[in-house]
Amino acid sequence: MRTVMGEVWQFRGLIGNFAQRELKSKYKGSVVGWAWSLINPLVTLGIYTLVFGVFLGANPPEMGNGMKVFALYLFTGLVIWNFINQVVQGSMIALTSNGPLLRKIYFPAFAPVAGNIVALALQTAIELGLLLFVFAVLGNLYWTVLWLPVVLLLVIAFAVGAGFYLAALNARFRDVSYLVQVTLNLVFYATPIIYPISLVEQYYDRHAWARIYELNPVTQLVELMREILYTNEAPSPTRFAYAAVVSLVVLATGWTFFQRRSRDLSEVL
Amino acid sequence: MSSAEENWHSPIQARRELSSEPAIEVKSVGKKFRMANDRRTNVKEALVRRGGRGPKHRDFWAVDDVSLTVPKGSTYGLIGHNGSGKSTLLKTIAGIHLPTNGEIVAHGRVSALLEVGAGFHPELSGRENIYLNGAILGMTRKQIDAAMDEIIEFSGLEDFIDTPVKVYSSGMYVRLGFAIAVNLDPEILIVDEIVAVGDEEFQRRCMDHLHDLRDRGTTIVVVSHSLAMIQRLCDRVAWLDHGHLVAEGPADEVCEAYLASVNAAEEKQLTESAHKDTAVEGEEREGTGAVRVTDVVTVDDDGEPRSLATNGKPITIQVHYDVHEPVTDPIVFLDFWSELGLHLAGPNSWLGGLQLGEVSGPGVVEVRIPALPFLPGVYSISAAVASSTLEVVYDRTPKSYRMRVRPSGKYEPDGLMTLEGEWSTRPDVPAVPAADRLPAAAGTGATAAGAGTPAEVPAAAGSSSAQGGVA
Repeated sequence: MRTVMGEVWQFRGLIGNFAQRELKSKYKGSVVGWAWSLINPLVTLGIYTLVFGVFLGANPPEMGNGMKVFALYLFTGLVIWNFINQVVQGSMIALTSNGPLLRKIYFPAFAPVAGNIVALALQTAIELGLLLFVFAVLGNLYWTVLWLPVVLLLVIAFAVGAGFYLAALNARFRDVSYLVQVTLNLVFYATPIIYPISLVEQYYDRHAWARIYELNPVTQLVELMREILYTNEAPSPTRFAYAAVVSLVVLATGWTFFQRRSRDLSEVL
Repeated sequence: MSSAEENWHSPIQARRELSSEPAIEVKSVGKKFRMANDRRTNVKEALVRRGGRGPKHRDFWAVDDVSLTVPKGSTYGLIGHNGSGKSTLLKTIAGIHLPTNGEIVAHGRVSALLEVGAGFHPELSGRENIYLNGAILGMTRKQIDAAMDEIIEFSGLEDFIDTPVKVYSSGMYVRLGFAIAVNLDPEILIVDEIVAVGDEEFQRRCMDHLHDLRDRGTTIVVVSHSLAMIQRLCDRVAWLDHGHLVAEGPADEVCEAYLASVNAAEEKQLTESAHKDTAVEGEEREGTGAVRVTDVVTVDDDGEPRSLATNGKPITIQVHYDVHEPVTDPIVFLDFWSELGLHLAGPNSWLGGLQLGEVSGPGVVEVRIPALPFLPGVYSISAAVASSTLEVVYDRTPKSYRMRVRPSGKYEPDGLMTLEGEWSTRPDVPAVPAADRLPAAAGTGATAAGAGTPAEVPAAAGSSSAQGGVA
């Protein structure tokens, strides 16, 4: 772990440059520019709120201050989901699209992937800031928000680990990216983002096997976010412990796998 | 910059004392590739073929058991024909490939320039790309900032540096890429065939800069197909063939050995494909036909047909003819044309002092050229036979024959011909003061005063005259 941090620190300049390239080039030539990074999630939020909150009448739990706002319930989960989703897909693209470069110049292969993640993290930070602002306006910020950095670290660890693992695998087998797209679609619906988790929980008593639903680490991460930001409770210990173990294992596995593969990357990319 | 220019002008580098300290140690390095056509790139194949029927892949050793040491501060060349493994070795040294066997130890920061402009992002401006590219090459922001002005000036893109590089011409692109790599003050610079970029003036600046880096003690490893450049730039050279190290040593010796081997191989191949190659469809033939030219053949001193002539070496050109109506004292003409259609020379038998007398039936006239002045390349030959008074042309075969000239050792890299001469210094002759006979031009003072130095006249005369490079 020490050496990992050391290596990342050593190449921070390069990672920063890749992140800058990502951010600067992303909206170059577009009129609205940076606004797109907010318009996109907000439109998604609007659609989901309309379809699931209004038409289908989803019933979210109460916020810490007693209000019930489906859009906020949704957005708390969506922020996390978007981040994980984009990191996983973006990591694969970041690595393959830098293949020609890796064949020409020696630099650590993790740098473009990490740069992409940094860029996504900044974008997510903006969305998160907006969310916190709304919670603050509605008077729904409690001391539980202090847990936020810890939970975010777990989210980042999970996303980074999965991203690196899949990026290295995709360099070898290009169908991984298509497989991942399909899987992410499944995971999206297997995670309580657009519906409250209570919808699934009601089956637990009748069907014991339905509890495998809880094994999905993204479910746990999303629920942790909801606990500390939406319902304003302390994270439930088992949920937290499970999410922490899975996230750290994923991070360690992903990083190790990537590093083991990285020396061959210039040949397979 | 002035010292670099002198370097450029001197055709042969004085051999330098090399440090015994190594900059790069290549220790019995081998690099194996699996042939790409067998690589399983999708999961299905990987699963299906897991059982492994038949050979799953074919191994190919691009570099096999190569050991060499690049001395600190030296300029080191890698030569070999296409596919000899020199680029693979270069990439392995640069750290892009991990050697399959052996190891590579580099003492110092390695900057690799395997493709200029690799890693540019089209949407970013030139300046932003300098930061990005610099970081990729391992520089900190501070170091890049320090070199920024120099890079921009070197690239000559002051006016475009804040425009996205996607609007750059390919020349501008390459200039920026080169400017970045060489101005970031590398300790070890690895260069793959780069000098063929940009216009002539920029190429000269690149060479100047490489010489500059060299003088400052930067270790440079370079791959090039231009032997002239390698000989001019490098201290030591390694010659690779099919992944094996054939020879390693001082640049001149290895380059000459390599050239000899290439020439021998080419000759063998050309003689096999016969000399039909040397007779080509020329321009329209003319003449009365009283005497017909039947063939033009190049032979060596032993009378053996040679499909290749060698620059600076003797060659004999035979004109075969057949006489249909007997004539007296015909004159045989030869004309030599460069590839660009320049008429280079037109010797004839009369000027050569040859009286043919009365001729009838087939015959051969030959001219021996003791040292062929033409530089390596392909030349067209016209042969003609005319009456002694030049009033009647019996036969003319314009540009119907071809002669290939190959290099031998050192030759002037530019121009059309070698100009043999004896060079010496004349301390006893007072030097004419600067700008006495020529109209004064900026910077000519130094050149004119330097009568004691062997000032070479480069082919870049057109462009360098502006800088007063031509004496």
